[in-house]
Amino acid sequence: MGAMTTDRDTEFRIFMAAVWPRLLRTAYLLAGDQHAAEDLAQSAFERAYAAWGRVSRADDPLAYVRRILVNQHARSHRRRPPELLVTAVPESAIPEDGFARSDQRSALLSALAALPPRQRTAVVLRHWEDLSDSQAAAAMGCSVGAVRSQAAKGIARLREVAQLKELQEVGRVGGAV
Amino acid sequence: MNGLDGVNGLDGAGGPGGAGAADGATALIGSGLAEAAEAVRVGPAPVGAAVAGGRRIRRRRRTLVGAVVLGSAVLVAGAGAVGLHDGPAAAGVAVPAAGGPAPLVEPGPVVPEPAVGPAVPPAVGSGVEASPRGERDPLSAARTVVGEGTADGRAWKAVAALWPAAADRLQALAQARTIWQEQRTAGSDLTEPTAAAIDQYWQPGQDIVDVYLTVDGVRMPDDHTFLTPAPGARAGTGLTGATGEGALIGYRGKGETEPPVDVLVVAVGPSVGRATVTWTDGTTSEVPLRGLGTGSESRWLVMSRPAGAKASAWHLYDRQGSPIAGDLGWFK
Repeated sequence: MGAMTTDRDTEFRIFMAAVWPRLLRTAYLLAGDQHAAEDLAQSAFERAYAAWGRVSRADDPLAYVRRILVNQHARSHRRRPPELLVTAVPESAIPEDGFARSDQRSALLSALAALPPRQRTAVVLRHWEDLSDSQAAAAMGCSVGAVRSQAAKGIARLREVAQLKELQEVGRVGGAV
Repeated sequence: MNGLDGVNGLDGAGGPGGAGAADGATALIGSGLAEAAEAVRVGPAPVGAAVAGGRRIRRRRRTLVGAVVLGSAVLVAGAGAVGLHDGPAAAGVAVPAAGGPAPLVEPGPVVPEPAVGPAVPPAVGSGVEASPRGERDPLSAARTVVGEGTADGRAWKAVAALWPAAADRLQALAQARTIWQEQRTAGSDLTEPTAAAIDQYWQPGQDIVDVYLTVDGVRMPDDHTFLTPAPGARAGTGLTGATGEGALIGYRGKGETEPPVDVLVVAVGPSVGRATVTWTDGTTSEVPLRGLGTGSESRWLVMSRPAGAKASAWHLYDRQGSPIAGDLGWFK
């Protein structure tokens, strides 16, 4: 039993160390800030460990844990309003200006935070995680059609943000100077 | 990119509102998200904390019963479940992969209310039977066998216990404690649900469906709870797609014995009329759909995965026999 636990722990530790950066970033885009992301990601991994037998037997353990994370995030959203990463969206930005790019990134994150939870999740999974519609649907526990719809609405709302319109004129979003 | 063309007609960098502009804008947003994500400070993975937390969860298995019973909430609208692929007693039947209209929606056999103790009487009969305490009594579940088979020479059943929606928080707490008593009797180490948990997790108008396994007539501690709209729930609260939340439930005896069987449980929407799965050995199994009865419109797909087997493809059909998309690719 002890050896079984050791093997289990070792397997889990290797897995978590490997995928932590990626899922932490996903959690950040879903949760809205560093600390909330760390809490969300850690919580997902705690649950993954508790169910490691199932997770490790899954064909794609990362997808399994991502689904746990998305479910965790959805539950937390049912209990509290979405948080904003910045207090306000700037009125305008000056193209090619470093500060402006930073503002643009803030504007993008603010707009993302303002999306309804499922739109936000669909956008993050499709356009950050780069999942297919079916993979995103599996992670969200909904249909492919729902993912398409939610992602399309989310992207449309992001593109409505004035400052993000300017991004298209500049030809890029955010970025370091 | 992904159905965005024409959405809002926002002019992109490349011109007035064309598909290319829309795709370009979406790509820019994608790159913006990537840059934002890169801004996260990534330290060492808190493996120790995750392991400790995971052990705590396992030890107290869902500390707040509310989080378990009510928190694994998933809104599902239909239900019916199952069929299976697991030995001669399984409900699944090998069929050609080609699909035709053959809607199979029928209630599974109802299991009598179990007496206190881990043993669950074998399921017999068919049709829907209200709980002994009356129609839709939140404190008494109506149980339906949604799948059965044999594995390693042991007979297993997947049972869905439908607990009707509680009327208020007080009743929700009583219900959670009743469910907890059952889970605890089955070997779960959950702690008793509290009023605080109910305050946080209870969702009015939602039936609770607790799916668990029995092996040789003994209920296993591993289970999964779903929420599904109670009859008469407001429109829009149910499952609109072909498939909803799913879970893999593995038989887990004392001492965390490796499960001889994994059982897939997935809520399916009202549009689904038929389901089949093709295994990597080329055989295809029909997965009948059954309802839970007692007024619930939920429908479920339940299927076991034989040892060593892997699913290669799923096929869902609507009630007219036309193929429809589902999201079961995560289960192989």
